[in-house]
Amino acid sequence: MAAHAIYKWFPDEKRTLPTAILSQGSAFGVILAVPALNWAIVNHSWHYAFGALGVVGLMWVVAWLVMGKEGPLVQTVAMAAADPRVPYFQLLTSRTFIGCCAATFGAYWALSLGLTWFTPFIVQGLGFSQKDAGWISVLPRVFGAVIVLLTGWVSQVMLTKGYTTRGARGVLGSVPLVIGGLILSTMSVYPARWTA
Amino acid sequence: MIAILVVGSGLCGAIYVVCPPMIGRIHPGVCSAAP
Repeated sequence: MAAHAIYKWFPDEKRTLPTAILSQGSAFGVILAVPALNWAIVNHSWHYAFGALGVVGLMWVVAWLVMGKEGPLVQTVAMAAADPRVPYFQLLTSRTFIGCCAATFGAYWALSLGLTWFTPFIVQGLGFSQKDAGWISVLPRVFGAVIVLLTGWVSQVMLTKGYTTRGARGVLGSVPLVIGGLILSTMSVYPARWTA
Repeated sequence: MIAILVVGSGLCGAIYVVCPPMIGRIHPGVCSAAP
């Protein structure tokens, strides 16, 4: 929904960097929330952590109601009616859509690993305290934010210089995915004493 | 180990640059693939 909203403000060739910044909202949320929630859990209880999340969510709703506006690039009913109708099957079997699904499927293995396994691993596997784990857990998000913003900026520059979407977005965005997957796959060959 | 996890999973965040704008680029006129 958020991406759909910002696409009403930015034309295609200027969307990559805003999309990258938008996607980092979740990363910055984790960077702030993980240590804060850890603090609430350690010093109070997990009940306070849930309560804090609810309050922040309500604050976001109020901010959205006050500040959210439609962008100028809204497709009118007449414009939509003029577009040729394309069956959903054709859209969902397009190479771009299938490629994006495959890339997202692969990337979320690593991203989910970071969300579910990273903190227990550094506490139980590497012996850090829960308090230290809260700070260490934000490191992948910080590094990921740098990569995403840098890639988004380079992609947008490439688009303005005339590169195709496939090159400036598909290829440029996929290279870090492949390198990240290769780096993570090397973990399986490290000796067990490294993880003890 | 922490460095490997940080770099590896951090690089995979590049997916956010790829998919939303590319899917937004699909248009009825060129719906077979983004150009």
